[in-house]
Amino acid sequence: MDAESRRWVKEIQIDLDTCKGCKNCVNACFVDVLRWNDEDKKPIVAYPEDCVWCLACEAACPVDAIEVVPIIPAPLRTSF
Amino acid sequence: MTGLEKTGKVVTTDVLIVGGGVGALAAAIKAKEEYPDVDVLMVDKQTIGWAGKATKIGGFLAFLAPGGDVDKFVDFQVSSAGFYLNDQDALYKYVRSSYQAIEQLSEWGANIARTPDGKFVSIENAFAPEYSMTFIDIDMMQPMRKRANKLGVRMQNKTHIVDLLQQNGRVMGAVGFDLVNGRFYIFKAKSTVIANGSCGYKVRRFWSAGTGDGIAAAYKAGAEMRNAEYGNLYGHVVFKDLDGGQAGNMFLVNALGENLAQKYMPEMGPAGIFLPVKLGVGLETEVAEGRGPIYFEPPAGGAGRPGGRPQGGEGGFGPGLPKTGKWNQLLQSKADKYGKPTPKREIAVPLHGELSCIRVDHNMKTTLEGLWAIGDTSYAGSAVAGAVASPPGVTPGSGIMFAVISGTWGGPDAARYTASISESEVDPDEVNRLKEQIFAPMSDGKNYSPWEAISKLQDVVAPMKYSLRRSKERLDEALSIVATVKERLPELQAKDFHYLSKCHEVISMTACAEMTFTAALAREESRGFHYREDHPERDDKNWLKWIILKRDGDRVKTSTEPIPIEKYKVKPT
Repeated sequence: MDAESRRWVKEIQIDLDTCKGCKNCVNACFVDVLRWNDEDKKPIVAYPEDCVWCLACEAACPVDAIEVVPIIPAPLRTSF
Repeated sequence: MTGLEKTGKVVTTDVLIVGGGVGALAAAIKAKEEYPDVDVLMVDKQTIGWAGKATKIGGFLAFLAPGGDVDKFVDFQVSSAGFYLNDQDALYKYVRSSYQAIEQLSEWGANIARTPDGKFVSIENAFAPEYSMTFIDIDMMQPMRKRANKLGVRMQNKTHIVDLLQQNGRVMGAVGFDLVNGRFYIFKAKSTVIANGSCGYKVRRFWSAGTGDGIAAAYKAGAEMRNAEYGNLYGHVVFKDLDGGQAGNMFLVNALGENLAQKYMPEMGPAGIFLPVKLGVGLETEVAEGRGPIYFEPPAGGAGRPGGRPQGGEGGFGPGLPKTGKWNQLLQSKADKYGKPTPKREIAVPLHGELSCIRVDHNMKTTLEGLWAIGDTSYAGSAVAGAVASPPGVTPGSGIMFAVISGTWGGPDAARYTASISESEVDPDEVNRLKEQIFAPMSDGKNYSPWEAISKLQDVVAPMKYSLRRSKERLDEALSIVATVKERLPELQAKDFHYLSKCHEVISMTACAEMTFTAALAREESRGFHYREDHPERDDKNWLKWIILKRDGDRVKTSTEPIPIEKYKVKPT
């Protein structure tokens, strides 16, 4: 299975105009999807293939600048 | 510049805490509170205070209320959940610490659900006599992080620790690399606390951070493992399209509409929130015999809970938990916006991987000098819970509790130890060797994608036929599949440092899978969440024993150790 076929999210949209550059979203990510661009002080969606739409970034954003778009149905491994 | 400094950035501390979740923070705070002069450094692969699982799937706190009957609880736990594989002394110590841990969390600033008159919400836990449940808000680690900072705990983020350093049989720190810039780090420490979680093989969304890195590092260094056969369970019945919600066990039907709890467990009442082995095997049988898929069909008007968490906000279990409430709303809004309503909700029972097998004593010290392990790295290995994957261990709601309680034991003990240790040098040749190994996936000519390896591991850990309904034949098969991954580990390929971290996660998960299946093969009986189709009965005559694993070169060496049942209060009848 390649990275694409096991993805949990379609995309992560960040409105960089609305973003205040607080870095909360980058800190909140527990699987290194979001990275920090030190030059323009804004987040980067670096590894969307690792996102599991835990939504910690959305919850942490004070200005609602992030939208995670999940893939439903989920690529959940079967047990049977 | 010494030889070591040419190899990487050398960082010296007294206590190195590997991890940045709730247990790691508890260990750091307590170490520093009790030993203010001891230097404490936390290092995490992601960001300290946000890392790990506690803020994703935590939320429940199970505890023994003041005045609760300790003996009654221990008796139930040992005879009905741990099935005598408990270290009963450790269990007593744990249970007696539980209410104090709630008070401690609250004192640190975590938001715990309270009644209008200011007391902790305390709901009787239906699954374990004498146990109560309360709820904690999702942002619990923020005040803990602030407190740790204020106490002078040092913190380093985005650093993946891969291997422990040893000299003359003593652990003397660890080595790892920065996920962003690839810088190699050599952490020299007098004591090291592994606190970076269990192994869940990335099967489930909220368990994605648990890749067994600390467990594998301790195993590679020669630490003993215990109760590794209890690393997997099929805990939650979830809505398949979301890997979310909790459908419970009572209203599952096959394609013919038959209620499966009634079919497979007619003698039982409400089955709790975790899937009993008997029902799990029943669901598998239904699908294998063509009566799948399995649906959730509650009585009219009933519904599963969307987030599988305590519900914050109005009308929920946890009034006064605003962050949890907001998060649940977000999860639900995604399901509403991007999901498609179906007339019947198909369920799944995904692998709930929680290997936590580092063997520890009552102060969370491992079998290696200079090394401690807390929280989900050693919950099963502590034998507090016995014959069940841990967490959930003792009872639902014990994951955060065990992390915090074990952190408050292990952190100060590791700090105390540093007073007796003088700083010593590590071998530069050994550090160089580890560095070469760690960065090997970045070199040319590698062709094994970490995704491919993860997929192969999931092929073997996820199915019930290997992880729930076990037999010698299938466990041999499982081990041979794990061996094919293991053989290819030297070919792992990393295109950057994020993927280098993933390669090391694969290496850790492979070791974890090998340990679990090896221990499961050794235990020739059925007990608790370990079910052997070829040995279906519990065998107290031959198997009141812990299975101990230890690395022996490239293979897992298995031995057994009799449980000192004669000295414990609760004995098999």
